[in-house]
Amino acid sequence: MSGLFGILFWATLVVYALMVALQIFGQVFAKPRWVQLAPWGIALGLGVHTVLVAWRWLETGHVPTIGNFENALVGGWFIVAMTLWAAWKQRYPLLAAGALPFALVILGGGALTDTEPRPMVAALQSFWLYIHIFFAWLAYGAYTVACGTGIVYLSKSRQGRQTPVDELSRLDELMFRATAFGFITDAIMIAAGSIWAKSLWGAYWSWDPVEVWSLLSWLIYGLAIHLRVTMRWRGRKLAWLLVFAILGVLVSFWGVNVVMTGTYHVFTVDSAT
Amino acid sequence: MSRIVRLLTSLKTTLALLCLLALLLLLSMLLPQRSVIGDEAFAQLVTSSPTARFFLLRLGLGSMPTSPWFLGALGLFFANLGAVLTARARPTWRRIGFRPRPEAGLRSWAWAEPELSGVPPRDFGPGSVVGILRGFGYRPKKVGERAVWGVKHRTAALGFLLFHLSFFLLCAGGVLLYYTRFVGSVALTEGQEFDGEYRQVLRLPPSGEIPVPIFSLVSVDPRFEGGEPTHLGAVLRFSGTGMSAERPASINHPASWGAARIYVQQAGLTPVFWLQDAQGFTLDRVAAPVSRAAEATEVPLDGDRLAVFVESPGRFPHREDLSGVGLEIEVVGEAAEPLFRGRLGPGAVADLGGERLVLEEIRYWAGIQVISERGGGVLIAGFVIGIAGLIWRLMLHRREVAVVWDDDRFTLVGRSEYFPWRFREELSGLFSTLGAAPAATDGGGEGERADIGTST
Repeated sequence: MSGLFGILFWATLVVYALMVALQIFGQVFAKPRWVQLAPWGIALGLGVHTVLVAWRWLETGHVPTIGNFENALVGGWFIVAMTLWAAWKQRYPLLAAGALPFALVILGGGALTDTEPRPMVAALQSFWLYIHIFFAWLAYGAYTVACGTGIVYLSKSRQGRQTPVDELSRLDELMFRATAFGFITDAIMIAAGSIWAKSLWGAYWSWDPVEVWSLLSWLIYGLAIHLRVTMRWRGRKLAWLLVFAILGVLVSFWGVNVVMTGTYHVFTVDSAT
Repeated sequence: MSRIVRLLTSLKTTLALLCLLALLLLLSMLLPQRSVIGDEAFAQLVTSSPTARFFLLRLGLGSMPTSPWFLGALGLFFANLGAVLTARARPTWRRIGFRPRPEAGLRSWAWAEPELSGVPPRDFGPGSVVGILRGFGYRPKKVGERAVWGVKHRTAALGFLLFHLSFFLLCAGGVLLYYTRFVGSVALTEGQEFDGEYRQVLRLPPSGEIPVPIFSLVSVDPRFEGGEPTHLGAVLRFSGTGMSAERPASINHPASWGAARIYVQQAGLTPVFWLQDAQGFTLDRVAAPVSRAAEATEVPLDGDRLAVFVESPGRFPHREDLSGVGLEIEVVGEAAEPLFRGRLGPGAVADLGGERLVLEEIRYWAGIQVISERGGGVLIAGFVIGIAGLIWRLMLHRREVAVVWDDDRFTLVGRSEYFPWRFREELSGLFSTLGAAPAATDGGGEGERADIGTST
């Protein structure tokens, strides 16, 4: 990372972290105004974050999609943007405290990897890549919002807490809405990835570890929707399920590194000499 | 029999099967899979450990997608899906019909949930209510003198059928692909024609034909930037019954010929040599596609043996750099006596003691895969229908409203399949519009201030 880029990047992370801390502090010490201040700070951080994404785009000449750092940069942006969108107008005041830690982990993890710009390798030069990753980020962002809402729900519905039923029911609805949205965009992501795989490797589906993880996490969210719609799972039960389901998404996100051997998802061209 | 049908159509069965499939997929991630570690490592693993042999080979868990467990679970899943769809088809069809409730029913509904009620404006009547509901995307129906019923996205339940039917299409596509998929690899040097003999057949289809496209490799175009491959393309010339056509193929953009797709996946260098006698007559001409995978590429040379060594992998040469490339060459005679060892570039000559070895030029070779299969269209149709079904079912869910009124009050009630809080916002907007312009002169504003409670 170049000097100013690095400073802005870490400053953004600090702002996000401070806003999460502010919300937790406000909640623990019953200072609602502090909780309500956080979205403004997050919006400021997101503004700088947007500049960073644009900067990287201009610097490399391609949408930042290559390597862990660029994936983290854009992925984190989607998580923050979707959290902010869901929490705007104080509809879900504590949401950032639940969802933003995931963005922090992803961004921090990305910054610890190689951050040097890399050219767009031949394997990634496909229109389907953009569709695939765009919907992947929408899905992962939505799932993170669902998980963050689940965390807030669990915290607010603890025994002994006096939380209005309306507030809990709104949180419950947001969990389901985010899950449903994530499930649809996840399905589009898998379909687009499959079509891209056909043009790149010649097979729609290869039971590759990355593909299997994606399918597995999609299946888990499908299960959550079934439980909600048909078995009336609501409230804490659904919240717990969504909190654990995010693990599958995180593995999918870092899966390429974990299963670097034996996967097709290493995007190089084999030059034999 | 009825018990089996009940079990098959049970939602609990669906959930159990989803859990089972998820568990098997998880196991496939935790256990070594043949497709991931490769045949050789897999064979070594099952030979070295009896436990691994039992789980991975005997129970089939080392090839999960084709294991009896996974296929059995999939079979049950599709049986469950088929049974559920059959059982749900008729109720779904009934549900999507445009059948307004009778006025009495709407009035008792409004009476039970009176939160959204207010004073009607002056021109309040069936016409204005129908118009407003239409504006909000509802299909309205006047069901009495003072009652209007409206429904939005009444066909949403069809999305359920579509989404679940798409799994059958995906399955059909997968089966078709499995039974017709052929994968063969070819390595051609620029100017060389594919003679129908595959270097390696990677997959033979259980049924279907082996494609033999007739084509030659015209040129290869590899591009690297900072050591990263940014382009690998080739021009192929296809010939058939009295016709010939050139088509480009590159990474992400395979060339098509009938049902076959031709994928360019690798590139390398092919030095082309002439062997001449002392008078300059040609004794042999050989091309030696060199590969990083092998220590040296060996080819026979008029009874001798020619070996081309690959040096440490440096920058992959672009076409304009080929004339400056040097290769380490060794020529060994019939009795294994060394005849020459040294470095040659294009146009350079090696003296073999009475014979001359000329490195004429360096060309590219390309590693090509020919893949032929059927069923991709069915699979994509499954994707499209499945996603459309999901959006239809979850995003465009059914909403129903009723407006009933008398001389001094009107009441709006509604219900939505999902997302009641979101629906409340929509209902609140609808209520404001109903109670607004053209405003009544006596207390028209009262309706706008009416309390909005939980009405779903």
